[in-house]
Amino acid sequence: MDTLVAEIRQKAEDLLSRKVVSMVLGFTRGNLPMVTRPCIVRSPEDADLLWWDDFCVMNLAAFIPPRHEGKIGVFAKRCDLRNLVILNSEKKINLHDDFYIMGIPCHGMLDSEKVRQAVPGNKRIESVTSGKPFIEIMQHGGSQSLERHDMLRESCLTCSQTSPDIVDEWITGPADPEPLPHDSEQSPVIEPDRDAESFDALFSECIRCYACREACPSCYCETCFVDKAGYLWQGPDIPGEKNSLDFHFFRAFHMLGRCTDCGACESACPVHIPVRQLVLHLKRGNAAFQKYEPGLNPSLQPPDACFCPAIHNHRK
Amino acid sequence: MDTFILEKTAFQSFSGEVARDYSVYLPTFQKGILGFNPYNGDATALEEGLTRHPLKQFLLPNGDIIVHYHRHPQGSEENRFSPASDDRNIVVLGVRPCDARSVGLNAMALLSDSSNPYQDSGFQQRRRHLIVIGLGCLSPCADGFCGSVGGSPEDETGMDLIFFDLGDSYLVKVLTEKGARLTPEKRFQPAEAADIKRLSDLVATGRKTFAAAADPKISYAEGDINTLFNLPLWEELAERCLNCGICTHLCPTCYCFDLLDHGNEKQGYRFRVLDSCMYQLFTQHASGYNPRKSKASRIRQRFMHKLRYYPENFNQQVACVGCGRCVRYCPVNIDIREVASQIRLHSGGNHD
Repeated sequence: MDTLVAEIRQKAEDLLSRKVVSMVLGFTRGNLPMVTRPCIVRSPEDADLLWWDDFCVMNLAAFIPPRHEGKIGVFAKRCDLRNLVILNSEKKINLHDDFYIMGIPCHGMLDSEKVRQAVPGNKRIESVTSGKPFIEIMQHGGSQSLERHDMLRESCLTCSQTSPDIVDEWITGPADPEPLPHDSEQSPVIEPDRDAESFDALFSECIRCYACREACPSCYCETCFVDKAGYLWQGPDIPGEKNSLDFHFFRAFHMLGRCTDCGACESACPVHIPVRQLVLHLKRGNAAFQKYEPGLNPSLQPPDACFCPAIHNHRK
Repeated sequence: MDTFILEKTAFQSFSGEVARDYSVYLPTFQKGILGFNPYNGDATALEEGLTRHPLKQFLLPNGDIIVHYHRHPQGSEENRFSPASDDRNIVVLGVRPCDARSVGLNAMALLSDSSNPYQDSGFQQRRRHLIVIGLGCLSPCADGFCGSVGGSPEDETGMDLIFFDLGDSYLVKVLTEKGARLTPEKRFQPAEAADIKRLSDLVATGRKTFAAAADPKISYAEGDINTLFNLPLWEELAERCLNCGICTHLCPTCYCFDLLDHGNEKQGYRFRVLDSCMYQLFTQHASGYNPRKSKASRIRQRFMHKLRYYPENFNQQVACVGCGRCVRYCPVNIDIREVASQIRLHSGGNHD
């Protein structure tokens, strides 16, 4: 078995039996290849349920149980850490008192849809074995290798690969031993002079399932603005057209300065909408936000949270 | 009924021919997503498997206008209500057996009969004008489990014609009168005994590799309703369920909708949109009270509807065709097969 998985299980068992934490938040195996399940383990005997592989794409900061007694142990990758910092600074959680954070060195998570598209035809994938630089795809009657880097999620390709200093301990070493080759910035999907029509095209497949919202740790409003008005927020265009732009625009404005670009929204989207791109687009066009990396520095305030961010952050 | 052979080389011209009299939709890729798209002469993706969105888009389209209203300034006699109607003759090609089976399942709830007084006129009208040309599955699909819910890879339920891929040609079985209208074409040759033998051989080989056959059965969740209602399972699922609407929107047998009005006091229209029991707003009362306030209660509703309430009302049929969309696209891997077996385990229901 993977040494990382073994270490995670051992650590969870240890923390739970010593009662350092009352529960542990991590991932468990899915019953299909290329999918995992966020899970909460409450007793040391169940520690063997925990799992880690290349498809832990959900952001665990979105799965913190609403009620808990005692500390929660979290096996967090870099983006989960950053979102925990954001939740802490927005006073949704108390990171210091209620959490025991275990950092997982992350080599980027894979996009199951990219893997499926790389395997032509309508064939059942039996299993995927991780590895570097190649991953192995097992199918009925054969296997094939794919370059791991080509299968990385879009968000992982631009990951800054830094994490906030909130980790109680790292699993298998202090940090990523060999940084991934990554693009510092992808070419923008949304051009600066986009017109309404091309925006429409980007979001035309949206089925309003709100998986992007639900998978997002920063989307925690008890009642979302779109749920205030049923479907009528979409305006008069709805019959015959899938006008979901209002939702995505509003959400993007709510996310600016709070989005860690973790990619959970895109991983959850069933119709491959480039959900991240709107926030990235806003960020690119806004000087104050360009240099601000949400969730990286717990003592830094987002540019829109104070009257004059330049002075404020300078004094810190 | 008749059986024909259609050479694959003639398929394109057959679709073109049909497209003269009907609006034809067939599986093609658009933005990387396989879907039923209008026929435009381009290459089809029939063999690529299941479309992302189910067949219900043709029977219960999202944003369906039900009635237009227009108020005359002078008096009430001139007020007009004009029911919207959709009488396009639609042919959908390449419908997989699971999707086709959903038509009949939905019809049990949406069309009136001796035991069901309710009639969904939009559904009825569209169903009358819809011709479903199926495509039998001869090799296992990526995610389906039709065998678990009483379907099969070569099920013909809900289709008017069914195609089977014989390699260089299609074997075409005529199943209904509507289907027969499309086949007197010169391109169809009567099938010979050898062709039919070839199909049954292919079906037999396919069966051996079908994982679907080995899947556990998803059956009517009998047993004490209070026990089922209070299973700890629902809270367990709620820990990871996002409460998004992927499963309901991609489900061929989820038909719940919401009615909305758009317009002003002079004119406007009433339309419906697909709703989802996963959404908070689904049961929210005008007073603000919500009988399904918790996430767990909404998850319970979805599965209890599929496995208990629906079969209880309609011939003991579970409201699932085993297409596997909800399982494949669930971001946290909630699997109706697992839920069904958990229910069986805890409720002491039937164990077949």
